[in-house]
Amino acid sequence: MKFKGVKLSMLLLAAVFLLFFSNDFGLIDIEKTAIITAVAIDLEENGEYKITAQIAVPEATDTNTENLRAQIAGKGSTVGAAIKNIGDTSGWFPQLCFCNLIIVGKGFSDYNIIKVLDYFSKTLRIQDSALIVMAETDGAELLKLSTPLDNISSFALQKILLKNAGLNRDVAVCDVKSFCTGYYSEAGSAYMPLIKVVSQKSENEKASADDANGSESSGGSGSAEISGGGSSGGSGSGGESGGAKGDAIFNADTTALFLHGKKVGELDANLTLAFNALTRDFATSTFEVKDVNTGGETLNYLLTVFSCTASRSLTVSENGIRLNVSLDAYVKISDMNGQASDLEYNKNLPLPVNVKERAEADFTERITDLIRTEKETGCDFLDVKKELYRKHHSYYYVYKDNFIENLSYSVSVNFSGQK
Amino acid sequence: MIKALKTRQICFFYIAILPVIKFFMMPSLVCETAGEDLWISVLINCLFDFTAIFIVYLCLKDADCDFFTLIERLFGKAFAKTVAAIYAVFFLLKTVMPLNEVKDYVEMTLYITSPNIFTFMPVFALVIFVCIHHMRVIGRIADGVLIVALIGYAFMFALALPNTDFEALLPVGARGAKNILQGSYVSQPWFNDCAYFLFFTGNHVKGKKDGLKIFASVAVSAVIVIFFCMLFYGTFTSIAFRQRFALTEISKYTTVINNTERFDYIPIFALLFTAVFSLALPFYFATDLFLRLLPVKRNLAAIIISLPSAILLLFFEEYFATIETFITQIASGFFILFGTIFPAVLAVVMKIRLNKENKLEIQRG
Repeated sequence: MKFKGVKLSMLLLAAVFLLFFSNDFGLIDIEKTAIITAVAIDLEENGEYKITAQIAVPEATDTNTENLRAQIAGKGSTVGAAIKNIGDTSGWFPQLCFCNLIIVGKGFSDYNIIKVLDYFSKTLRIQDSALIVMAETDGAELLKLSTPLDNISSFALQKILLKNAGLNRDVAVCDVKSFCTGYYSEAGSAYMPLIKVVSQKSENEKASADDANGSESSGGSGSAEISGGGSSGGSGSGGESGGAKGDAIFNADTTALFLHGKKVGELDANLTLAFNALTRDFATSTFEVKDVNTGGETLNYLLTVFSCTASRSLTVSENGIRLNVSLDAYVKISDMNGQASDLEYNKNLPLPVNVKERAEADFTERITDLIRTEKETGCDFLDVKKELYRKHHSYYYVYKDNFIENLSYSVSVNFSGQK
Repeated sequence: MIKALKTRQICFFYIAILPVIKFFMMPSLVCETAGEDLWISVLINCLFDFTAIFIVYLCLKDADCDFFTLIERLFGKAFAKTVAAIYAVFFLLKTVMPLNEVKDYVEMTLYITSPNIFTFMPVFALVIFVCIHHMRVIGRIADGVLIVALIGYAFMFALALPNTDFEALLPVGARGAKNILQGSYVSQPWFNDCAYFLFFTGNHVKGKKDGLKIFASVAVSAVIVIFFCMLFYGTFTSIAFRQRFALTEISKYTTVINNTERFDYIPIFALLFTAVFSLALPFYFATDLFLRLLPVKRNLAAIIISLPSAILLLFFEEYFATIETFITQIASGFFILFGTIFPAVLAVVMKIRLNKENKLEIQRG
């Protein structure tokens, strides 16, 4: 009898636990739930925030693509208030746990952006691993674009932000947590990708015009940046033609730099690539080496990075701070635009000396430009102050306010091929 | 006399049940003052706990009953009842922070749309269920949750490790002794685990190398907590101080999660499951002490002991900020005194008296 009582109470306990942890006491009607896939934040003229949410509405058929791009906006004097306003005006409960992208509009260029982003790092309603980007236009405009690659524009954007292995590491990806840790760090510096919308049609026209002008060497430059570089994803002006493919593409290879929450500068595509080579896993990325004189012929090469080791270290003394940057990469030639087939690169033969020297010179210049940008903007994206605090703490209070002025540098780049 | 626990169960108790409750709010609270030196603050607390358990074990390892029964035998009923009353308050105060943080977690993550205090009340069903049982229930819980807790630790640490920047813990000691000690002080409500050991000493089946096994398990428990704190700070660095729910946060940044969604909830739920039992423990021991004060039925004592916490949650939720300040700032001194210093000192005094008694018995022949 006693055993039965224990069994019964255990079963009751299990039932209560099941209901308790599965939130069966607090279920929301799925039809009144808005599953938000991305939000865009814009600054209104009256100082209020406008949040545009892209909602994935579940439905039985996938023929009506418009339905999958439902958008709804809310306004408020804080981000939390604006999100709540979305629910109040629509009757839908905004479910943010699937929101993986936050777009900040251009209106925040001269604004302490942490005022809007801090909400996302504090609330448990959204994952702070959500990606953040700044739009060169209004944030809502990016969400309105429809894309030939995906029914939901934010998903197309995420494809170019989080790339699969084998594609170039040419986007300085940033999530809410990274941005906030940067902002609250000793240096108060952070960065995020700057999204540009480029009309594919106009780019093609421009390329055609270049071709028509007889520019023989233009094949690997301008157009490759958009279609071959991998840093852009297709989109279109969906409002006009429903599910039809549009003529606009996203470009994310520029990086916006922030100091104490305010935008202070940008890294262009070349500098972003160099920044990623120094800070991320750079293997499988490719880069071009142009106009190399090989056997009397001027050629362009495409090199693929197979392994890359980058290091940054500080040497600190009473005389100042010296930043030592070194980059060692093992590369192979993937392509070249020679007039005749050249067996050399197919045979994994050593990297031609002039290609190696040009690649090294190119990257040395890019890294030097990176350090110059850090000095000019004051944005410590190379983590000099962080290193100073962590590893040279005895000098931290000497240089914490003037580390930029006292910063000198040395750059060492070494590319190698088959040995 | 049949002993309630086996040495193995005491070891499992320290490894599986006690560390989990320290994974919620405690790390962020320590970060507020100690910053990257939070692990030193936690290490100090663990060393204090270890030392107290070490002293109590060495002094009372030959005793045939638990600490409180021994007090009654050596110092009389009045002193024993006073000590029992103090420790009943001690354990009741020890429930306040964990109960509120688990409640907050449940409301803010599982019941975000309709946070209602009544959704948390089923926890008291489990608390009372544990409290009405004999001490053997503690051993059974320890046996049962060990595997769940170990799976939780293993998964969570494995997921958090790749994204941890251990260099963020540098420079060591830069925050200064004052801030590090302040970090230790405010986290006292989560430590002082020697108080649990007072019920176990003399109450377990003795075997070979018991002391070594118990010390090793207390050390493993400390390593788990310190390592968790290191992972936590290495994950959040400059914003660690405001991550109130460390348990659910540190494992979600791994690349796998981006592609497969939050399967890290598997270890989180495993640890939450363990945390609920961890939550019930102070209630259990407070009930045990209450029974030494008043001769009532165990079922009634369990309800009486659970009642203040339930009332606190139901009617005084708006004062939680004040209560938190009281517990972490003022009551922390009380926790150190009765969780570490008093048991260690009293155990030494008891050992001296026991030795004197033995000598007298030998002299009497």
